[in-house]
Amino acid sequence: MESISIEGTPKTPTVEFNSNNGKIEIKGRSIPENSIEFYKPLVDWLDEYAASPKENTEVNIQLEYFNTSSSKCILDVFKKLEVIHKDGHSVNINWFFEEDDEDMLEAGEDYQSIIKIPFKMIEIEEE
Amino acid sequence: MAFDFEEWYNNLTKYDTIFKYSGEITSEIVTKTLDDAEAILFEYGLDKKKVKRAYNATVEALQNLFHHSITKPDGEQYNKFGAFCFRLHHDNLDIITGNYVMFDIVPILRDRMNQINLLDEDEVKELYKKILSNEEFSDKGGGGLGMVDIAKRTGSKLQYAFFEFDEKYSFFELKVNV
Repeated sequence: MESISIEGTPKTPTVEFNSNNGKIEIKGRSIPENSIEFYKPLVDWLDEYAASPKENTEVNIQLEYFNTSSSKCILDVFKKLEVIHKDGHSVNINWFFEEDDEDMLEAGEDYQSIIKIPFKMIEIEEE
Repeated sequence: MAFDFEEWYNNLTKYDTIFKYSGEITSEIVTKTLDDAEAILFEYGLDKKKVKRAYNATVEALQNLFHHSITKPDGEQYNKFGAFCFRLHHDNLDIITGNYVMFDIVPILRDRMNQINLLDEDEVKELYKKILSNEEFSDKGGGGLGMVDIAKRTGSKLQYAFFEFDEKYSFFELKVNV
């Protein structure tokens, strides 16, 4: 299957979904008015990937901002990953947040409490 | 007396206003306004944490306008019309939006905001999580989370007012403090 590579814009994140090495990255700002339109191809890709995932899937989420409609879509992405994890494959989510950004840490913890996948909270220095 | 938008907007932006916009609401205008708003927040030397919270609340507030604003019943004939402003007094930032709504949804909005305002900070966070994990998307693409998110991020009560325009339309003012 093909990998997905999308360059970020002021309202949408940089996306790298790599089917060859099982590395999944969403980075930047996710504040589009219509998040479903943006995330649907990503969720569909994960559906296909779930059929024959890599032994280890590493997920890196590093968001500066995300709006509420994205928050629901990001949960949909995590739910697809949860299925892969439940099927006995290794999935690890790294949730990056800037130092002192308690809101972003809390957002990660919210997902961690909903989704049954190992989460790692990683603090990064401000750019 | 019927609501007069120009009078409302002039009064709103008379003092302490560091950023304002009124007019058509489109996706492009939301993008541009967000860029300008972020630049203004940094320009006024607010600390980074406050800028982040204010920016987040601004994203939700402007996208609420994008999803829910309607035409201005008098004057300019835009599909969606709305107003937005930042007022800064010392370190206190008010984020204010205004838009027309159909008269019949006023009680629904009022109930929703009153319910949120009754909750303390922890209860707002719990409600947010509950809606995030349960609620379906509305037909406008919003997750029903916008108002709760604004309350959660700002820790502020939703201060609102409705002004009657005629038997069909009301004007909705929403203010939060960061």
